Amino acid sequence: MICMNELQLTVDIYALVITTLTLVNAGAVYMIFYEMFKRFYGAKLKFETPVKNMMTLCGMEVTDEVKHLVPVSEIMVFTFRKAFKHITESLTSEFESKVLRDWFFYALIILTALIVLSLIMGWY
Amino acid sequence: MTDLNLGIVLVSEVLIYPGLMFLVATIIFTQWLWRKIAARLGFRRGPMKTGPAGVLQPMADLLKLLSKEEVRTALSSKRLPALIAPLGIGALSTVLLTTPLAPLPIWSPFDSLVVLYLILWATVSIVILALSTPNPYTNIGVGRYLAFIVAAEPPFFISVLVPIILASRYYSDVNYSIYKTSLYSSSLWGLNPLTATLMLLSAFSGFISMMAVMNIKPFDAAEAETEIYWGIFTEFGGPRLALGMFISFAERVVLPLIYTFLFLGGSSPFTFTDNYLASLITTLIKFFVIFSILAIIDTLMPRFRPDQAVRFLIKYALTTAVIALIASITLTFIY
Repeated sequence: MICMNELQLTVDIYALVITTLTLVNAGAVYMIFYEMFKRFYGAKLKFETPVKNMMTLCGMEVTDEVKHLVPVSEIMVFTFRKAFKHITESLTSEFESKVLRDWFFYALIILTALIVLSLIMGWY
Repeated sequence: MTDLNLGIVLVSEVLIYPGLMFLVATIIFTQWLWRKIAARLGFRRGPMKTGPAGVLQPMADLLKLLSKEEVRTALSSKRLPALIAPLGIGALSTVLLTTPLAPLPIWSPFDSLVVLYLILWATVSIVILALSTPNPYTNIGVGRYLAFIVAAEPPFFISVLVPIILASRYYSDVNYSIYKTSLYSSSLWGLNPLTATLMLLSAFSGFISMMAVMNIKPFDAAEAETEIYWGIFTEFGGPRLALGMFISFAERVVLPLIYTFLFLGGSSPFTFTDNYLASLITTLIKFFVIFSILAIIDTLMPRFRPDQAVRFLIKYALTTAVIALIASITLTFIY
């Protein structure tokens, strides 16, 4: 259905159209910004060094083996564990000083109270 | 309008305006603006040589990277980066068709879910792009980036959903459409104290989580140059680096634009149907203000440790977003 200045579609057709347009766009990006430059210019350049195809290890020994690699999931879990460990500590020993005396905690309580009050009083 | 003409209009929109070419032009200008702001705050002059006031310097850098020889390590994937990066860029520039910027915007009920899904494509493509070139620093960067994404994407999506839910509650034709919400978002601030409070909460959490999604300081530990070289972009050079930076910069255009439409009223006080030029200028001014604030924060702020960043996002962004979401959902059940 075409409205005045907009095109309204059903959700399934919309998803199909958007996906198709994304693929068209991706194809254009690939052709213009990768293939064209590579074919006309980049492919003609050659610069050979012994370490050209090796990993950047910066200070460690030059290697072409897969080592020093830490699994991505391990780093992610480590980050979360460290973040939550601090929260757990603050909930037990320093709960009052770190959470209850925080300006954000008070602001959140006031805003939540305002929301509940607005719902009760019918200010909507 | 016949199907063929409609197809031509949509393809030209997605490739030219407000799609790919517009996105490229906006990236060039915004990156110049970003560099100028960062330089001025550091008592430097920024880009000067290429184009008037150095405005074409980002384009020169892009062309330089694209014209380089493609170098990859022996362990890296050959074709995957070149295929996955354009998908992320394509998804981001297609999202602009669902904004009022498009001369013929396309929308449907519940289109917000499709748009959020497309935004996620860009994030996923950055992860796949980085993982296709194994390196110790890249892996650390990707691990940190994924931790940020897990902590930042839910509050960002929830924050985006709040104005959509509110607009659907008060305006019958919105029907959870991100495009329709963009047309009514300015009125949500003034409807009543409750919607104003919920908009404030979601705007706050949306801004913080948007910064984390875009890797802006203090949430840029995934590409912390002084610790892990360039993190997710360590092994990139030439065309691969150009495509990786393209996605990253495209996110810095598309997400603030969506934020402008949903939280800052978009083109308000003008409407695109009545006065397109004034609406476009108003929207772009609001967008550049948001963009400049982001650039100033990025330049002035120090970097959070990864665990600090995750904790900050959960405490400040997620809690406010969840409160706003629960209240707005409650509101939809009250007539």
